Amino acid sequence: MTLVALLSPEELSALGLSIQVGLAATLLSLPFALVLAFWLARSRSRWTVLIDALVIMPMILPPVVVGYLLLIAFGRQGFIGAFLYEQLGLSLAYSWSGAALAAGILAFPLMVRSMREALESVDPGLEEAAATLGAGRLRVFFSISMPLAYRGILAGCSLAFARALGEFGATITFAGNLEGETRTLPLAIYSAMQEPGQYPTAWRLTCLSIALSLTATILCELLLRRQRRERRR
Amino acid sequence: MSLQVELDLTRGDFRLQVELQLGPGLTALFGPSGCGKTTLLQVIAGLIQPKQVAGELRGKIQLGERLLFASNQRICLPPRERRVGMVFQDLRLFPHRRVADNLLYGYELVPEKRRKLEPAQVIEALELGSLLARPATEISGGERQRVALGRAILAMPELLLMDEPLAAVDLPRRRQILPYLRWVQETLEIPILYVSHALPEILELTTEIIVMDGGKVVGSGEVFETLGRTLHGALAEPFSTETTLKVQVENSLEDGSATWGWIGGQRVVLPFQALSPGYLGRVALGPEDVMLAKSELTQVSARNQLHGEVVRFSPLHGRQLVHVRLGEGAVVLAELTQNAIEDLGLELGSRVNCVIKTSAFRWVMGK
Repeated sequence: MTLVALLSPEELSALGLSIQVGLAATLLSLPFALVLAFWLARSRSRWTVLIDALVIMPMILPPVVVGYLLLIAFGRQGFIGAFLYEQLGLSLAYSWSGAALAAGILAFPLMVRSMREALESVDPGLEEAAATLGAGRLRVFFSISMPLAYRGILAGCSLAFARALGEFGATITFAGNLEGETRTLPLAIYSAMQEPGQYPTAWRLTCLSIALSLTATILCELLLRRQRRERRR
Repeated sequence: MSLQVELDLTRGDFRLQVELQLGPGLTALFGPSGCGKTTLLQVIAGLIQPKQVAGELRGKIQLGERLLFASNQRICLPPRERRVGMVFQDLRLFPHRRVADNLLYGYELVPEKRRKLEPAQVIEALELGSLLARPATEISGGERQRVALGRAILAMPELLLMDEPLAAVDLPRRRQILPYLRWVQETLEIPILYVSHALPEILELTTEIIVMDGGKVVGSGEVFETLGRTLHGALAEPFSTETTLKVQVENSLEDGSATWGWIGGQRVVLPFQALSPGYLGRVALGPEDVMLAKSELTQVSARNQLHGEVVRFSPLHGRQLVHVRLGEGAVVLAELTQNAIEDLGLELGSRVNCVIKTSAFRWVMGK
């Protein structure tokens, strides 16, 4: 509480927004990442190589490029954005949901990777056994694969959350730097650095960022260790 | 219910070409490792589907009225729709679930009108009652086998495939599951295909056998007849023709020198084993340790002479096995040369004495 009391309303808003965007980005990616990770873990299709490469792309590309592509696709004149705006009145660019979309895409590769590793550690023989007992694919996934890999799946989520918290380039390109709407921690730090006399703010937010990411990655590491131990049994 | 299989699978340089028919009851599938037994079971269960094979899979699998697979009609049911139960070699219990959840996993997916067995019935017959709340990872090997068996039959299969379910268990414990298997056999009127390397195990469960070698069925029918016809070449790897006999203990001598008991209504001297009078046990006996005589031998060191009647001859890999019935259903196998059989003038119905040293018997612990 004392830490929170130290923060100005603007800084608090940046912290709250960061967590909101991070959670939204994680929840948004989760179902897609799970399906994709399971497919990559089990499929013997030769397409896995290509899909694998495509999944990693956002991690390699400059975030600005991702932000620019998002703007082209989801901006009001963009081919998806125009549709969303006309049909549903939704505008993603320059809004916090746009920031969440950008952060989700950037965090997606990390999430898929650790989920895939966790799902690969589940013995496919158990899934076969469930199938001979009459279970369909979905049931096998939810009753066997997912419970046996849940620690790795949670680790993927916490890693993705940490990555989403740090998103800067794509967010500022696609969602802008609007205080209270899209100014998350990294953007707030950047803004503080632009103004003279705001160094203490930048410092406080930097420490906050470090604390948040460290918590998420430690949680992730603990979960992964337990998942590996489980596999060895 | 009956099963008809015609398959032709090519995978790399391995080819599986099988035609077989099974009626209700247990049939053993015997063959050297690498002959395609496990692959055959996986294809029947639907765990190997044509599109997953880097090669070709053609043929037909029909279970009762239902076509499970027919390449010319493009029918290939997924495993969950086949109603083919499988007990895997490594059992594959779900480690994150309790014993009860494992048992009921398949049962809960079966529509009510197809449920022919009640869980309570199976739990009682397989003696699983005390294990239900335990995690599946914290029970013994023998218990795991029974859970795997119970789980498979509670899914109401119309065909049960068992892939060496006893292979992972040490020898004395193997025997413990046999009575449960017999119960399954008697309770379910479905075909059961049982892969095994161990002839003693097969002999206790069935008289019907299918022998595979090099991806093909090389013989099927009655155990001894079939083995006699097919044991050659690659199949001639050593295997045991040891049989087991039921013994009722009379008493164990206090000086630890011997145990007296009854086999087939006749009194025998067995190696010492500290067992109480009346105990029902089993001893194993190899046919090479049994000598046959036409009359009672006197002044002979072997302590046991069991009277019986020759009930059949089975040629086995260049040897002759003579089956001698002692009474009360006990049958002793003796291995003789063709020459000895002719010299003694043995034929079906001949009265003979089985001369057996005490040390030739080996106690088999467990049920």
